Amino acid sequence: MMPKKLRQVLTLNFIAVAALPVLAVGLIALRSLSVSLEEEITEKNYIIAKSIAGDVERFLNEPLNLLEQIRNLKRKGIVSEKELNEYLAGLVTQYPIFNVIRILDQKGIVTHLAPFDENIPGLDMSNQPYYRVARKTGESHWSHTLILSQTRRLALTLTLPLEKEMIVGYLNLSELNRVIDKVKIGDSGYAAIIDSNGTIIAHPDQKFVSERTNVKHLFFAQQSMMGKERTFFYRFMGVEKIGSVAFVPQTHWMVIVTQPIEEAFLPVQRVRNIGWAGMLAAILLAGFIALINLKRVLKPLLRLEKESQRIADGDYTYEPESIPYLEIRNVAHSFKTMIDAIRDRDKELRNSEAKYRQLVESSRILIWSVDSLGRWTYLNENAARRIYGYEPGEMLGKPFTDFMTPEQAKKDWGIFEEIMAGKNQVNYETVHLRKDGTPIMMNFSAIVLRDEQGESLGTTGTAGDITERKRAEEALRESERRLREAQQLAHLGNWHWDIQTGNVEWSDEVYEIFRFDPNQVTPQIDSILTLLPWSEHHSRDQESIQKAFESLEFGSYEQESLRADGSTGFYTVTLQGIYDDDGRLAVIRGTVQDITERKQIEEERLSLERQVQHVQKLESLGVLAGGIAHDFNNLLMGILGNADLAIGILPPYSPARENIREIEKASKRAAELAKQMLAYSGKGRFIIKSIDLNEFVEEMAHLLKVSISKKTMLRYHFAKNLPFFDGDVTQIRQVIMNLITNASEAIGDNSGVITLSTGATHCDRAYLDNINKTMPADLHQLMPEGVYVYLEVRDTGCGMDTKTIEKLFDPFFTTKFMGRGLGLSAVLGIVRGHRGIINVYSEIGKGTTFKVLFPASPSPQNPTADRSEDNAVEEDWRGSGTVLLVDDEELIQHAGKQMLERIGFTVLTASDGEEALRIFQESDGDIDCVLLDLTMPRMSGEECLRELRKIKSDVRIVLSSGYNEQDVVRRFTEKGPAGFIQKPYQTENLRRKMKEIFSQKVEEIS
Amino acid sequence: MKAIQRKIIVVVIGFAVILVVLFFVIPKSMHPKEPIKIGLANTLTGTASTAGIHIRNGAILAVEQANAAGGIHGRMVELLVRDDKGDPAEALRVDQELIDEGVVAILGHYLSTLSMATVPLMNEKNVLMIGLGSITSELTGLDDNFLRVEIPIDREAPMMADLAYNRLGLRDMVIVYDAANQKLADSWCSNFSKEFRKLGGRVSGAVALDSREKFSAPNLARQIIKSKAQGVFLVTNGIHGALICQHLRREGSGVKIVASGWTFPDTDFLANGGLAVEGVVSVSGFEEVPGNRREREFRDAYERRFGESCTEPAQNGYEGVQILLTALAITNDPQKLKSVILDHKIFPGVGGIIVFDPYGDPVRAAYFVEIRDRRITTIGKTEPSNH
Repeated sequence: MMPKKLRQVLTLNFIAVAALPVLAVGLIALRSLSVSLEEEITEKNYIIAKSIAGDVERFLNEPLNLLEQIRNLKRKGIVSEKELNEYLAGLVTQYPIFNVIRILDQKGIVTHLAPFDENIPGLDMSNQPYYRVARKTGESHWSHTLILSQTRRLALTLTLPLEKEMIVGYLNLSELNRVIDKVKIGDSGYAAIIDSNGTIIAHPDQKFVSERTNVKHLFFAQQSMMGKERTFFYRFMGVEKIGSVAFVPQTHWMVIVTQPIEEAFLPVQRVRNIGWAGMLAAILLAGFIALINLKRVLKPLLRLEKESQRIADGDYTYEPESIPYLEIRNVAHSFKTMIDAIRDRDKELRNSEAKYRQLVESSRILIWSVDSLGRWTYLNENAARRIYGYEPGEMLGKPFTDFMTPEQAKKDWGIFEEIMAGKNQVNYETVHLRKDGTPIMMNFSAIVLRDEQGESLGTTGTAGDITERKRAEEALRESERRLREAQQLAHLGNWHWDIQTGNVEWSDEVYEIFRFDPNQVTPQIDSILTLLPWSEHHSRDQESIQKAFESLEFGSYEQESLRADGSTGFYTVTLQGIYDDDGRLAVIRGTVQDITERKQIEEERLSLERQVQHVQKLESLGVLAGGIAHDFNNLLMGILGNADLAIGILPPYSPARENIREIEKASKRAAELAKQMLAYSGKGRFIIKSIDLNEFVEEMAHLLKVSISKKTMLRYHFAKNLPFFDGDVTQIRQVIMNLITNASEAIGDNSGVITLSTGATHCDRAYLDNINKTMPADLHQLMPEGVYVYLEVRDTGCGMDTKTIEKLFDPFFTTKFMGRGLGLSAVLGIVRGHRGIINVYSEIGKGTTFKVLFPASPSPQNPTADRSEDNAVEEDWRGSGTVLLVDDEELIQHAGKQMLERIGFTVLTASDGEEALRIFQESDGDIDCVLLDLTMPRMSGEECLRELRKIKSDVRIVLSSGYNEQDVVRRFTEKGPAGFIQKPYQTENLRRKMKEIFSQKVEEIS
Repeated sequence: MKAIQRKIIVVVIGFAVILVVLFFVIPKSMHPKEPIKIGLANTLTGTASTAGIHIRNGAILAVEQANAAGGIHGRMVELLVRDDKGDPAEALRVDQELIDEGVVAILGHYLSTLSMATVPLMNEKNVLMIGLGSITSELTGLDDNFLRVEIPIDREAPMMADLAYNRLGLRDMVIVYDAANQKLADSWCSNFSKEFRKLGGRVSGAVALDSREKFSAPNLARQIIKSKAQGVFLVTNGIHGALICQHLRREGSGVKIVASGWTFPDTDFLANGGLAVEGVVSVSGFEEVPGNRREREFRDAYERRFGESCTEPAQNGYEGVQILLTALAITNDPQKLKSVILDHKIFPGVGGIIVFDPYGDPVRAAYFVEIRDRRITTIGKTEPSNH
């Protein structure tokens, strides 16, 4: 709350003290004086009204007396009837108050009148109100005032009843004005007479009378008509008036003496004015005197105020003057004492200020202040010069925002405004610019400066150049970042264990390594040196830890740990003990590196190596099998061919035929064996057709039945709507046969059941990978997801153990005494060649299930209805022409020549490609067909074919080989052979083929 | 110190200003809304002043009642009364004076001659005048700024003729008129004669008197008797009409007398007529005995206010003000008062509903009256219609 000014307080108090009593007394006096004056005035007016009323009364009494006089005369007969008119006329003349006097008889007929009017005598006045009232009451009657028609003047009738007659006097009331005219009250006051109806009958302004103005509505009239004689205040014609009312007894007229209030109470108003003026003068005088005294009292105080101002300006000289008031004198002396003290303190303060100024100016820390507009008002020289490169004078008066970039200025200005708005001490970092434009990173500490009223004047504070520190911090952060990155890349974390306090710290990477949640796990040493669930590692780890505890040795070990997420990982832990000056172990620090990935990679590498080795082994076996099969076929060609020829030569009853048939049979079995080896090696003959597995198996039913033991039952479960799959018929048949054979052999002589099931299934990635896992690693293939047609062969045989299953598909592996070990190898080769997969499940004593899956084909192609190999051949077909037989095996040459000749051809032979070319050239076009072996020394069949085509492009060339047709035919990108025949072949095969070749048109050959 | 002195002076001056404001400015500012001024120009002195004063009193009563009820939309009504003294020139002067004072309309005049003289001024100034006694037929059916509350002669005359011809059975009549009001007399004479003749009667003659001069009532009576008319139609003031009746009876004449609306309503006629006026008939817009509450309330209020019985002129004055105030309640535009009244058309007069025709002439109930046993008695009534 603001302190009040003594001057004002004293002034008001003095004035109040002076004025209030004067006012109070004055008001009371005025009031009482006003009241008594008012009473006097009203009383005076009332007296006047009463006087006028008396005059009116007397005025009215006169005509009454005159009428009474007439009555008396009539009664006494003093005036005769004849003289009466004359008498009346004299009266009217003598007394102007009368307008007319009439005498009416008892019927109201006018008998006498004055002044005389010939029209009036004899007139019936019985309807006149005055007649009827007077007749009724028998008393004199004053009528209401009226305007007399004859005179157009105010009048009334005064009726005086006689015994039978009636005297009526018409009074002229204009005389009333004489009564009131002599009344003069002030300038505007007057008297008026108002009849009992409230109509003005006498008034200084005759208009009111002539216009019969009625004032019955006025308050005083209403009150007076109730019989009250007194003074009233009322308003008439817009003027506030005071009226005193007195009654005229005969007529109850009101005599009112009225005056405008303003005029009536003018003396009162004058007294009041004088009183107010007097009071005001008294107050002013009192005020004046009060002011004079106040001045005297305040003068020394004001002087003290001036002196204090001078002292504030630094002038400490003061001598108290002579002061008349003791209290103020004491104040002045105390003031002097205070000034002396202030002077001394000021001196000390200056000295102190100089000292601190020097300190501030020499400080390296910037000490600064800015005003409310952000302009520098102070900067310590040394720091300003050093930090900014400016002289302080160059900066003072300029906004601090001039010393930074516009973007920084915007930010800093916001902070400045916050501080100015009242925010507490603010520390912030900013970037200023030196004089040469280089940036300076600075740390500012600022507070607001306020004046006494709390208004913000500006800010002040300190600041320091933190550029170097910032750079060092940045470098440290960068270093930490790189270390963190390196740790992340290397999956390496470091840890630090304070033995004394037990506190553990570790880098962020440790959380990652052990899959700890940083929000839930606090660093503990057990988390690093966690002992494994596998006891075999305990001793090793403990040894490492113990070494670290006991010496300065650096220890490391690998461990497998359980991670927080339940997985396991491999880690390398290193640790080192740090000892204090007393030799006590203070700290153990170390690293932990996640080597799980490395371990996995090593495992995979080893596995892969094993796979490669196995595959190489199989490939070499395959190559071996393929080579053996090829050579074998050639040999079999010799055996089967000659056997076939021999059968043709021997008479039907020759006992040797049986032997030769046996030779054929054995040779064919051998050929089958060679085929299996070829199939295993992947070189089996491939003719792709769309196969309906259900139909296929059904067709083989008889064959399968005869292939198994009689004690074994064969069951079929065929799925409906089985999709087709693409496959080589022969090879698929071989697969089924081999599986059934194996199943039968597994059951052996016991009773058992072999179940063949077909179906289609969608194999997803997980299923395929799972199958791959159950197979030996070398048999894995990346099979595409999709629909697979499967054949499942389940037996109730003896089953196999795991070790047997692992080697099941190895070539030449067999558990049977007489087994050759190629069946399942061939199956595997065929299945792989068909991009299929094979799954085995077996349990000892329970049986085995083989499941072969082939990828389903989108649509059937080349349905397996066509089995060209089994088609019958016309045995009677004979060829003609010359055939050149080219083969490096003499056996095959010999057998083949005989076969061809038996068919009807003339045969030339050659042992290799070169010889064949020579012969062909020398034949001069006589050779109709060339039967060409593929694998020959000096010139291969492939090369020879090309050369032959050069000689004669349309020459019929039939290739023969122990390998499959596809392997052979795909070698020829240009014009290939006209046909192919697989070794070993017999005469009928050869006949069929030659017929086929020679049936083709020439242009089809090539 | 100077500062203190200045402050004291400021305080004193401030105090004085406050006083002035309290006692002078505020009261003035609190002055109520500007009053509505309406003018009343009537004959308050001289001939016909009695009726004029009654008209004024009736108007005053209506204004006082309106102000007691809060005025017109909060504005008080101020009645400015002027005396036309029965003189056309004075009438024109006071009308102009009232117009200059800003009255919204003028009620007046009582005498037809004055209305005839002042209506052109009203038309020129476009100020509405409501006639409270002028019954001349020369102002009937005119589209002007003149409306009136009393039935004009040309509409009353048929009723008078009907009264004389059918009720009294008169077939031959003589008209007695006061030449002092020639216009009125001519209007009555011509209209009554026309209507009486329409019915089949005959107006055998007209006898004139001049109230401004001395005349012999007996001679007049003899003159009337000599005409041998069955009936007399009086077109005079009350006192002269009473005089004629008295002398006719004194001369022994039993001639039937029909009094005009000039003669009959004058209180002097009955008061000075004695028994001679018994049986005199007339047509009046004033029902002696109040027929309804509204009439009773009006007459009671009039008697309380003015201490005398209510008369037809007082009723006219009252009704005239009420009609004007009704219009002012609808519009404060003086230019529109006439159209408002004519649009409003029907007003509840004290003496029965008043219907204004498009020209501002009233159609209202009229009463057949007769003096019986020294009293005015209603013997019949006509309802408003366009006569």
